[in-house]
Amino acid sequence: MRVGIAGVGWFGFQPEVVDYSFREMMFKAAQRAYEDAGGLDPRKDVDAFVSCQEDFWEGIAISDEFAPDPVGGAMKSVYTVAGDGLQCVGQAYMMIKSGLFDVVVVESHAKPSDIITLNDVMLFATDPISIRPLDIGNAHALAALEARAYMHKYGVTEEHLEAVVEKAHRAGAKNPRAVYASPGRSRSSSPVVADPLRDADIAKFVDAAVVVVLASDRVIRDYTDAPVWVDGAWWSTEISSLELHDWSFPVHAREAADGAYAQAKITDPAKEVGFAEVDNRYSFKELQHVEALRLAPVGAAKDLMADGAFCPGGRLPVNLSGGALAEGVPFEVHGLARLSYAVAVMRGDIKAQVDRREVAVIHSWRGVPTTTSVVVVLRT
Amino acid sequence: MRRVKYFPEVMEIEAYVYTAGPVGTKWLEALKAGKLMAAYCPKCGRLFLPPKMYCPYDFEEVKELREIAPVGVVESYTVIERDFNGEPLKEKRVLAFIKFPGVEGGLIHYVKADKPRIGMRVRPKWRDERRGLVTDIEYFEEA
Ligand SMILES: [Zn+2]
Repeated sequence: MRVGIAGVGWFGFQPEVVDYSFREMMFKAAQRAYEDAGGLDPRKDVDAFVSCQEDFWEGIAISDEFAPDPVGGAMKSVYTVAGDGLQCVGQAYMMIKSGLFDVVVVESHAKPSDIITLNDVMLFATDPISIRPLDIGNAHALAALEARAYMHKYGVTEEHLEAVVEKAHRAGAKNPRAVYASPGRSRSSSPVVADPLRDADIAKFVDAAVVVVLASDRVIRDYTDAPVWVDGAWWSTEISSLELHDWSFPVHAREAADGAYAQAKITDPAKEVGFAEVDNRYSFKELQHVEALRLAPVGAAKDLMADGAFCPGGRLPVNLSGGALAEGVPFEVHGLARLSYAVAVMRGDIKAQVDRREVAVIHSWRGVPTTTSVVVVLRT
Repeated sequence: MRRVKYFPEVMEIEAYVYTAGPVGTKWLEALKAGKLMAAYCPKCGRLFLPPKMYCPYDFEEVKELREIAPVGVVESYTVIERDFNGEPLKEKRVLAFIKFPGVEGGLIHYVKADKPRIGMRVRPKWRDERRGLVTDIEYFEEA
């Protein structure tokens, strides 16, 4: 039994989607995904829906109850997951593999522009006893602690971060939904926020919704002639206490990658993977995640980056989309943003500078203060 | 005519209390007494911070806290210059992750130093009036 992607749809990817509520954004993204899946009818053709969301992001309690109808799932099996959208892909993967479901729709949405006190909401995710009373004025400072630990240990310099930022903006300039892409953006002239992080190292937030239709190999040809297969999906949470997590390396991303590679029978990722879409909501995170995903030896991503290995047209392009630095961070939609871009590249809908489009690896991290990563392996 | 596009709402998030739990309560009481303690796992013998009732390494129940020497080492730090919205802070603040010899984990806290550095030895500056909070330590300073 193989699980494939039959359709994708997205809506928004604007700093502020003024005219539509998150429910309407879900509806719009779903409409597009169902069109992409050959005009699928969610009321007849879909066996179950999975929605990735968080109450605090939406300002609504028990927001699960809001999930079904905007995607056509009222009175059907709807599951909600408080996690990144790729975790929903993992759920759908298991449900279809079980043989009990043939078509499962995955959804995630985010409207950060609705949140007036976003820093407080982010800090609300920290430990109420050991961290919250510190009243940290900027949640990005927690990422800065990781950045310094990583850079100190592996000799990563600000010039290396500059290379990541420059690549993201140049690649993003070719991605129509990368609203923050600004080729020529200079990192060194952007202000220090929490050193070593400058403003240019930190991705902005963005409103977006993404819907993905997954189907079993038994029925997928009813919806698409060009399935992209999900051959691995794995996730890992390191620990709930930041103080006890590894400050210098994302162990959770390594764990998730190894799980997904084992499922997809990939033994040498740096050779077998054609391109990657990874979390780069902070510039240094792209280097870390490249290493965690075994696309470069630990500590070596900075040098390979400088050599252009991960640039568009390079040996193993990373974030042809520009990633979160160019598109923005749509909370739990982020993993689906990375995935939907990769699917478009693999199907040839987007003409990207990549030689090998047959195998892609997708990664998402839930941002500070989380230690959760998801990795998905795609094949054409 | 003004279009009604959105309307403001306030979430009731100030109406929460948190239960510190048996281990957390002991830890906070120690802070109030001006002492730094760590959780002790009877199975693996590790000391760890922040303390929890369960050992993160082997799931053993933790019942005991042990006092630790209040001299830590800066493992990582950042100088916060701007707030979340990008506005410059009136005063830069040094936030650090501090480890204590022989203790897993550690504490995230402020450090008062003009030139913070990794490996710097620091000790807590206790407040005179303590309430049983992690902020009973006002900041850490060079030891
Ligand atoms: Zn133990």
